[in-house]
Amino acid sequence: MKKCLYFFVFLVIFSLLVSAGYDFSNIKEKISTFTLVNGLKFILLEDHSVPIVSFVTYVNVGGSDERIGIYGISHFLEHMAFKGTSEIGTTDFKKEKKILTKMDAVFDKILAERDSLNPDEEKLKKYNEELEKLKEEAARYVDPNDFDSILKRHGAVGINAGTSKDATMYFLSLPSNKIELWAYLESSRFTDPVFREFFKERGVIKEERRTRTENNPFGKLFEELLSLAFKDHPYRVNGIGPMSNIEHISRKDMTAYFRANYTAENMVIGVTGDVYPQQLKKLARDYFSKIPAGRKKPRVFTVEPKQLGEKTITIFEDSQPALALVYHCPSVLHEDFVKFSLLDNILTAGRSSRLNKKMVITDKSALGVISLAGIPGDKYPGLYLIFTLPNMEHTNKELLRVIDEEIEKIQNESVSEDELKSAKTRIKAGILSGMKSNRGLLMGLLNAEVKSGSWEKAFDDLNEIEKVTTEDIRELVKQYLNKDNRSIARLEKKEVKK
Amino acid sequence: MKQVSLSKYFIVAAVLVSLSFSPGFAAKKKRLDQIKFPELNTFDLPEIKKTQTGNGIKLRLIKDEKLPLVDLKILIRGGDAYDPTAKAGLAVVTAQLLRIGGTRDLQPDQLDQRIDANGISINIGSNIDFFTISLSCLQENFSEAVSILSQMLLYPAFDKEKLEEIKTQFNSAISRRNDDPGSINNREFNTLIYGKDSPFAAVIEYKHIDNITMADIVGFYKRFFAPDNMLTGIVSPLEMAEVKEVFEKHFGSWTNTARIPPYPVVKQQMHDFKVGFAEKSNLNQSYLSIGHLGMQEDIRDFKEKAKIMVFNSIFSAGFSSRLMSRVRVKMGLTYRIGGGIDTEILYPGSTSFSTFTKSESTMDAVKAIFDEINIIRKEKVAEKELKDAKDYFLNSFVFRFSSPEQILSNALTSEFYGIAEDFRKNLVESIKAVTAADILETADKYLQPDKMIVFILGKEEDIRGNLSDLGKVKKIDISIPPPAQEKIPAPTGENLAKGRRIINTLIKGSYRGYKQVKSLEVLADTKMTISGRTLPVGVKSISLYPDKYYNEMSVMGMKVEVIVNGDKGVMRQMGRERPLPQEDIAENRFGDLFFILNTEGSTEYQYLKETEIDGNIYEVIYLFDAKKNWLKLFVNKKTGLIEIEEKMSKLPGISGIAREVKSDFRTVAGIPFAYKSKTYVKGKKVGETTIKRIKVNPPVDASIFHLEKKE
Repeated sequence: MKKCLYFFVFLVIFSLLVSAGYDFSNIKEKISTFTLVNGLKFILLEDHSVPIVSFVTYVNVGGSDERIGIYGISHFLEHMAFKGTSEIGTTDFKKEKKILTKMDAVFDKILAERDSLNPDEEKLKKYNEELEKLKEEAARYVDPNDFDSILKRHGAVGINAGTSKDATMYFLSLPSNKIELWAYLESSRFTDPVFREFFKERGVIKEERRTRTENNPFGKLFEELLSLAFKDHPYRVNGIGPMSNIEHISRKDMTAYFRANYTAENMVIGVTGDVYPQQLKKLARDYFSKIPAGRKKPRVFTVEPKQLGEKTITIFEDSQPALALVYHCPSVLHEDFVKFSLLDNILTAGRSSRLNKKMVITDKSALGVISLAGIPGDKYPGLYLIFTLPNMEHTNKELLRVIDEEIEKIQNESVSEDELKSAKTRIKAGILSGMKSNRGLLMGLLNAEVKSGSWEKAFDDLNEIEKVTTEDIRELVKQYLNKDNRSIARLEKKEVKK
Repeated sequence: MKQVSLSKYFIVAAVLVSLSFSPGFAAKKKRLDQIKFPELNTFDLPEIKKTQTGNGIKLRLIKDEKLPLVDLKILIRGGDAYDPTAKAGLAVVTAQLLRIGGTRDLQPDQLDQRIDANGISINIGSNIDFFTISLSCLQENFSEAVSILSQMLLYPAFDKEKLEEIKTQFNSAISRRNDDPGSINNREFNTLIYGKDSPFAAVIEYKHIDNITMADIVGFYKRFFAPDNMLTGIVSPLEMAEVKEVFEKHFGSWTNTARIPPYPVVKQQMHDFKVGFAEKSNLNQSYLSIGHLGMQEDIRDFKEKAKIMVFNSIFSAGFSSRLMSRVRVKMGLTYRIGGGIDTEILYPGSTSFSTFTKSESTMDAVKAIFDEINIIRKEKVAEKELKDAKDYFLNSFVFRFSSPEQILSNALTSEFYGIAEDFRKNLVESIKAVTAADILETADKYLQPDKMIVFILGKEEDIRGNLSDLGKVKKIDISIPPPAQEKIPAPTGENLAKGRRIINTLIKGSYRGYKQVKSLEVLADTKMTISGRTLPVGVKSISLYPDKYYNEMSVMGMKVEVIVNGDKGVMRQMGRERPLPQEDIAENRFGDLFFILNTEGSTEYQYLKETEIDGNIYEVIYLFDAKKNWLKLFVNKKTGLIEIEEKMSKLPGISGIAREVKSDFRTVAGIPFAYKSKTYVKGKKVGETTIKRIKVNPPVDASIFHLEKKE
């Protein structure tokens, strides 16, 4: 969820810098880009103050690009990208490969049996035992965590990755004398990946799904909320995918998905820190030219139709209540998107924001309230979320009424000039702080590059935010925050039978 | 648009290139071991300037001109470790109230607005060993921001209403603490290790929050918040002279001196069981921790610290660690596993490992962890494994200096704990010196599997195998103790006699008219506030003593009737009828002054105390019924009237003590009745009643008490 903030934050930073009279040419000066012949683009933000470098590989593929049956594959693939190559993570790839092929054949049989109308449990048991045996055998040739170990012994920190509905990203930082190590490892994991330990990693992913969604009341609530709010658009499916699909994905599916999507045209690489453009260019050419060009991924063409009326779901859990409201909102490309951040500030950021003041401070009816646009993504039209937790002795119903009243107030009377000004100032201060981190800045550039077509876009129409008026906010609330455009998910405490 | 055509061009170009020239483009493929890495560029550490204000505030500054921003962080010795046992949470409540409780010159609201409108961010929080203040603002607002902070610290207003707000938030958080299995695991494991009342287990209960008074907060504040106890770090484009001037201006007049109490001692907990198990049957995973109390070695000795760091890295920290390799990668049993030997400075941390796994594989995960513990205690780690771990620290050392904020923050922590300034060199040398024998020794010294406790949270019936295979099992109750009940002193002959004496005075005195009462009819308007919404309720009640009662309420055009006849009763609402529980009938009678002031009944009286409220002196008496339900009467010493009543609220969704404050007394048939009353729960008004008419001994149509449904 964080990712959509970056782009927005970035947009706002510059507009405020412009309006505040800051000269950002010194930032622009540090940015350089180049594109390899295969179409792979690099964005570099230099900073030579400390000899460290951070890398972000941004792959323009995420949960939205999946189809039913393999939901969750983008995330699964992200896990598999740490499993090494034909050289890394193995003690004898030739022998290992043979076993991997055998395992695929057995898994094919398992799937065929499992998917048949009347699965033969005996056969399934036999195949599963076969698979277990092969897993043991394959493990003999695996050097577990080799990819990670190599990076770590060279001093890498922040080795991580994330998958959203919009994109998949890979992060790491190294001391700047180890840039070539990154070039070697990062390029080989995307040219010569080996999806080893696939069947074990599935177990890990299932544990991840259990802890994030099934054993987490808010996780459960959000999964339900997405499928309620979206009828057609793939944003309707939780990024990690349903258990049935996680269990069904095969190495074959993964290879096909990888080949179709992890191509130079679908990737942008961001680098920030103690690197010079010529140095990076040479390494990029030497190591990344072999990534196939591929085809630029088309947009998801499915459009979410206009919602016809308010939708609600109530789930009962052995946990305290929570209330989530979502309104369809436009994508990050739409001019209204930035206005939502101002609305956010006015509604929920800081103690003097409207909902905080009313619910948390005056009524003491809520433990907290937050709001955010661009859920579960902002590449396509997503959702504007208001999320709140009632205090003891208060109810979701009561909070919903208060939120409705506050929204109505803005629809009728708009917001005050002071409020809007304060929101702009706060965004400015918050964003300046965010800019301190080179990586935050880099993420903004990458998002702009992929979603708006050019990292420079971030510098262009940035005065928009300063231009927003109180009337614009009123219009925004009138247009989007109406009940027909809304879905509500309530988490209510299940009374435990005694 | 240009962008699009450009990309198309690139696609075509790329295809052509890949067809014809591709092999020539790619460099000869190097193997990993052929890559030569240059030396790391040297870099200058920013200088940390040091000074102090006239009244002793230590200032540490790194000048950074990258952005026109100021970042400030203050450490104040104090914090959670010093919480009184019965008032856990006092430190953090104090910190929060300083932040939001207003100042001498600014109402809480004004304070919030001043901060928000200037884009300033100020947070005051509490850690185990210190309070922290963090402040960030634009350079141009620095003086304003420090001025606001100084007002918070020098002239806090400790607004009562804001304290209520904080307490409400805490209570709400307590009520939610069993919703997240990961935090239950942490909390309950720490409780086993440190004991339930230890500040290091840090379990805040309703009763603790309830116990915290304004006087506690003011006392805590005065004890710790003082200029000589403030270690301040600043990253900003400003010079030290400018920063110091601003601090002298706003904090210069502050003269308080901190009085730090002795640091609490950790008591080793003794358990006669090996496994603590807590049931949470809505989970399909178990969340578990394994470990024991740590040793308190002085890890300001870098040699010891270095060994622990390398050990943790090999065994349990990070992706390449043994636990991760075994339980996640090889077994596929979890998404996360971690822990290690703590390196706390002032108290013994714990040595502990935790993870979660699907319910069925709980025992497999526990056994795998113990297995790894036994291996690392028995066998020396391989030289390569050791070298990898050491190389990681040595090569990644530069990341400790990746930003001025981080450098300053580390420096503040070192200074706070008295860690030598040249730790960088010391630690590097110490890490280089760690041997495989050291790791074995560290494992043997800090990991004692026999002493380890296993805590498991999960659904027992889905766990494959027997928990008792691990050792003796104790079931742990994680249910949240309900908010504090009224603390009633033990009855004594003396307080019982005095209670009865006072009631007798009422029966014979101001309330003697009750003796003549046979029936009573009351017509009233009530406003009830439930869940933030106020509802008008019309009430008509008719009592035919001693055992018949009729009550009709109209709420939002709906009629609700309650009828009691003898020991039976019903409630009728929109044509539906349900019997009234016995306890409701009894309770209704218990609360009726007629029974208190007329009959001797089964009521017990107990005198509590004399108290002053709003300038009036009251004698406070408890009344108990047979089930030990209580009712508290406040009798005005001067007027002899019962002006306040308290009891546990039975209103739906409103828990706590309900206080009814009566006024507008009028005498009807020789009996004083309060024509107005307001009811409060936790200081919040939940009801207000105005009596329209009272009739004493009116004629009563007995048919209204018929329990059979009327046709």
